[in-house]
Amino acid sequence: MLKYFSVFILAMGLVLGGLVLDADAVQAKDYLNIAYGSDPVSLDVHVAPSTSHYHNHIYDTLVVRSGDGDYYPGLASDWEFADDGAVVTFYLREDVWFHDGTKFNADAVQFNFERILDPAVASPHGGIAGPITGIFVEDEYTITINYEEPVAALLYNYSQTFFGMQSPAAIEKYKDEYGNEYAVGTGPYKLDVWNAGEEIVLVRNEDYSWGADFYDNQGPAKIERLVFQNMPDEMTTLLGLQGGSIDIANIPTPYIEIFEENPDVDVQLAPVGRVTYLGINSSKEPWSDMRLRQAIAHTIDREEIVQVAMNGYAVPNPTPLAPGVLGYDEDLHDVAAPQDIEAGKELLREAGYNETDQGWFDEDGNELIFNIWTYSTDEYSRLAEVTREQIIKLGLTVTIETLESGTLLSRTPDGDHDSVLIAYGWSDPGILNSFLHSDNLDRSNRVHYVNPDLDRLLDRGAVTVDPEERARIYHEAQKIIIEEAPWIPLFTVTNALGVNTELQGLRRGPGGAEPRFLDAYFD
Amino acid sequence: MHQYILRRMFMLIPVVIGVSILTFLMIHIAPGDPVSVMLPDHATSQDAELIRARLGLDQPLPIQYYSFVRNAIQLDFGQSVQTGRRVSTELFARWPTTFQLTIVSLTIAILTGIPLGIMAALKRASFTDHFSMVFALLGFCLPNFFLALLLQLLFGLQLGWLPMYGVSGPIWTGEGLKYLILPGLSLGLSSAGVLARMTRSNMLEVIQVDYIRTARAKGLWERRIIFKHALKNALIPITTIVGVQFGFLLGGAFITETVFALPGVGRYAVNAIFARDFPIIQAVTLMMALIFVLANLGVDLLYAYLDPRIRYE
Amino acid sequence: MNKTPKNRRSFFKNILQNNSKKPEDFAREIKGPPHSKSRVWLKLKRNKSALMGIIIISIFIMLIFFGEAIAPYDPLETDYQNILSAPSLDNWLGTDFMGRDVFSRILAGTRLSLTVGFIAIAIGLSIGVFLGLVAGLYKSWDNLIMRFIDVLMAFPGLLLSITIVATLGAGLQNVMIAIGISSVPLYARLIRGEVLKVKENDYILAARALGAKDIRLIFQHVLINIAAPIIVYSTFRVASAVLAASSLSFLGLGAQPPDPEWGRLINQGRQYMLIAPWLVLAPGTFITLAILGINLFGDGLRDALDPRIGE
Repeated sequence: MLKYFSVFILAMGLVLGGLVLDADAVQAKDYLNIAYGSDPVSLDVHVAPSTSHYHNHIYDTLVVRSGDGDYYPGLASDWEFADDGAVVTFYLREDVWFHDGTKFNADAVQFNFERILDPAVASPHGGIAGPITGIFVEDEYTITINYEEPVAALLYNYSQTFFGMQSPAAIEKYKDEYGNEYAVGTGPYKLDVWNAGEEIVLVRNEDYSWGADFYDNQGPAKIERLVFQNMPDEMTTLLGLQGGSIDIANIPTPYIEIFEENPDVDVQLAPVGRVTYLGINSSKEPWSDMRLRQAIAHTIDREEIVQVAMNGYAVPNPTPLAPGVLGYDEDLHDVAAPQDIEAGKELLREAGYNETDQGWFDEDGNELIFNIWTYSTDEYSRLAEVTREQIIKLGLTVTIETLESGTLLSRTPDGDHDSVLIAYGWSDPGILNSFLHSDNLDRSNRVHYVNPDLDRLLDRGAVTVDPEERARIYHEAQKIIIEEAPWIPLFTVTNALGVNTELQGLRRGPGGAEPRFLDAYFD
Repeated sequence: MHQYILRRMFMLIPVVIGVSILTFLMIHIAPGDPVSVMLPDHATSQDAELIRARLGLDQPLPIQYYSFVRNAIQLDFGQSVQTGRRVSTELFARWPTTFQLTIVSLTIAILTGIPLGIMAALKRASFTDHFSMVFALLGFCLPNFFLALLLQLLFGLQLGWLPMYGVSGPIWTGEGLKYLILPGLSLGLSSAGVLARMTRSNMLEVIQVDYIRTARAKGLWERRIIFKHALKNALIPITTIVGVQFGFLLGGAFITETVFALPGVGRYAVNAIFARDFPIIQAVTLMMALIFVLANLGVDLLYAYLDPRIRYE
Repeated sequence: MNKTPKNRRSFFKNILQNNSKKPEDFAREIKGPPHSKSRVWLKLKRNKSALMGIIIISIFIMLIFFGEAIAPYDPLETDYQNILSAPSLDNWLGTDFMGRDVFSRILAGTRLSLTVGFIAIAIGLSIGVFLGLVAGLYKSWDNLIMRFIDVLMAFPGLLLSITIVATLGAGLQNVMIAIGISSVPLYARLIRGEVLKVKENDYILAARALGAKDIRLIFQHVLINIAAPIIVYSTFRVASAVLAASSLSFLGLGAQPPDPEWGRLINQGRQYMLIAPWLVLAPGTFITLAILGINLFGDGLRDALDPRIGE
């Protein structure tokens, strides 16, 4: 028996050894391995609640927003507003084809907009399409859209990949399969295959010749294939990047310094228009008392949060909008409460609470407890811990509840939380309407904030087309938000993209995080 | 025997119904509104109502259960709340990975556990015995997520011998097998520990049973005795344990697949838990429970077949 | 159960196994002429590995009560000047991303990490005993309860706990409930089998309607018969409950920050695994040791309570 067993062990050893000695494949330079965290909901951008860079390469939009926030012609070579902004006419490019060989024209645009508004499609982007009253095809390459009232964020919204132009022929042909097995746009890359949970492979669109002006290259991309590999785990992604099997991946903040020393990986830092904030439930007792919220605001040291929780790779920001967004104003930094624990305690005393060794109590002897809800990801639980560490300086009891992302989103509308530590990424100030307008209490107003003055400002901001006037409105709105503290904005994120050093010409998209490959090539 | 099989199958019916009710109720017991998960921040109220209606979540409970069961029978678990993809299609794409992982781990468990147990029993109280038993004990005391990280650090990072994560094709290609060795080890070693201990004690017990002594008295070659009698009798009860371990390994896939980034059912379900994507959680729970119940039935029948001493009451 | 193997001894070993399928048989095995307490203790002491188990467990029990007190630092005290530092004389097991002392955090986390196991099993035991008694005493309930138990048993390994946590939401409290519920079936079947046997042996009791006094009598009888196997079995269950709880915390479904529960420490340490491996290795070693101790102790206890194993 023992003899048999030793033979078996030996055999196992040989098999394993043989496997291990397999030579590494030679790296070809016509494709990129890109790590991505989770599968898209759908490659049908009208339906997907969020888009990621694989969407951006498949689809083009009528208007393109560059990394610095200017609008360039995309599939529309020009556009014209009339009637104070309640009517817009797009003049389309005449040389554009969808991946399936059908022609892109005004009928296609009309089809796309009607589909977004179609109740049967149930697109979550119907709202930001604007209050459309009519879509008129003027001629083969001209289309006019009428609105009930002017839409201030029109160009921004239409530059989002949600409004990417999808082939009407493909949608009619593939029906339910569209978005899963098939995705047909006009972008620089075509969908080759999507194996959910494994990879999304895009191949170059050889006929592409309509790249936006701010790219050096308007023709076909230089890299033939983009292989997006599903790697939900940060550690495994990093090991892949370090080992060279991954060419492009986001680097979590603790590892940025390490990769900066790695000669094979180029760390490209870019600010992202993403604001992380602590939102306080302003309808829930006792936090409906503004003084309590302000007391919390007085404990926050943004610089320390950024240093400790984000390893310094973020920009402290006490205002609700990110730098570069219309309405962002450096002057508002002075409105924010400075860190001042004594002032915070004074506010708590004013609100009728007494400090003891055990914490703060109201007159009936109930302890004041502050809970923070946040995502259960590494970064957010780290943030919550550091933030908690600052708030407890008041002498207050602070608890953290980390929730699965789905739970957090589905339970905040119920309003059981004291506060929620969360972020948003959207570069038009109109988004504040979603988060703080009383119309949205059942959904995205996760802090349950109700303030008629703010509602009025946000309503005006949504229809004011003149940028300067609009910026003034949002300046006022932000001032209210900072002073009454339903939100305590913390910082805007710096995105670190680890890129194979041999890859040149990578550009960042308007959000800052997503790379664009039209100009990219291997050295 | 046939009657026994039939009765055992019949007894599965209430279990299956119970499992289906439990899994169906999950979404309704859970706090929170499932539709909020699917809404981007910029969505409006009308957008939300449209989605609710599309998912059938505006229907009364019994009707929802009825359609849940009717569809589940046809292996249709509806669409993922989050992605709108057909859950059954997604699951069938992922089951092969999970099955292969389970097979690799079970193979590792059997091929290390049983020989170790036999050696330990044959050389009782020797170094081999102590070594095997310490190994066995460590096998099931090491949390498998910790073991997984240790293996990744050692074989993947330090030594660079084996891939640390992911898959590459099916296991019958050498490359594919290579990717499943570390996950298989991290999952299989605890079962190996259990099997080693079981085998050892069963062997010790059988060795002392009379007929072996008789055989020995008759002067048969000792190793043959062990093989023909002891091993056979010791291994029969092990079959039941293998059945239970199979279930244990299926359940362990949640963690192992997450740590090693394997595109299997377990990781799919863990992601679904975080996204609160109930159709997926329901489907995985239901299918895993069914497979487990059937595997156990199979193992029990096999046991009954192998061991003639079992009575069928 | 449908089959009654003659070779009952083999079932005795099934308890090595967390998912032992035949608890009733197991109960049959371990009973016998009762041991005096001193003899059990003697047998335990002679068994070297059991002794080691006892020592390890004693240390951990001590840490449950005094872990926080003897920790060299406050487990929550941050030091932003000293983050992610490697193990040294000042910080024996290094520091984490907020400069907190890892050794102190692990010591302070003992209570959380281990009591979760005890409480979960206490929950499972009480529900299990209740269901088992009701099922055994009242024929009308028997079928319903046992079918329910069958349903619970259809979920393999961690699946039931994960499913329950997925439904109720993450958090240590829900984790305890989930693990407790998943250990209900075995207890319930164990108790029910014993109650039926007591009733079987006493014809009068079986024939007449049961009064409160009879129920108490049966309960006492059952308990005396079954105490030993339940204790041994529960010891192993506690070990696997600790394991399961740390697994769920590792997945991010359990303990909440800043609680230093071990599984969560590993989960959080994992993001620094490449730069600060001690954040994973240290708590992992503690979990392994604790589970090892409990299992060694369980092994010894089983042998000591088994009348057939000589001294």
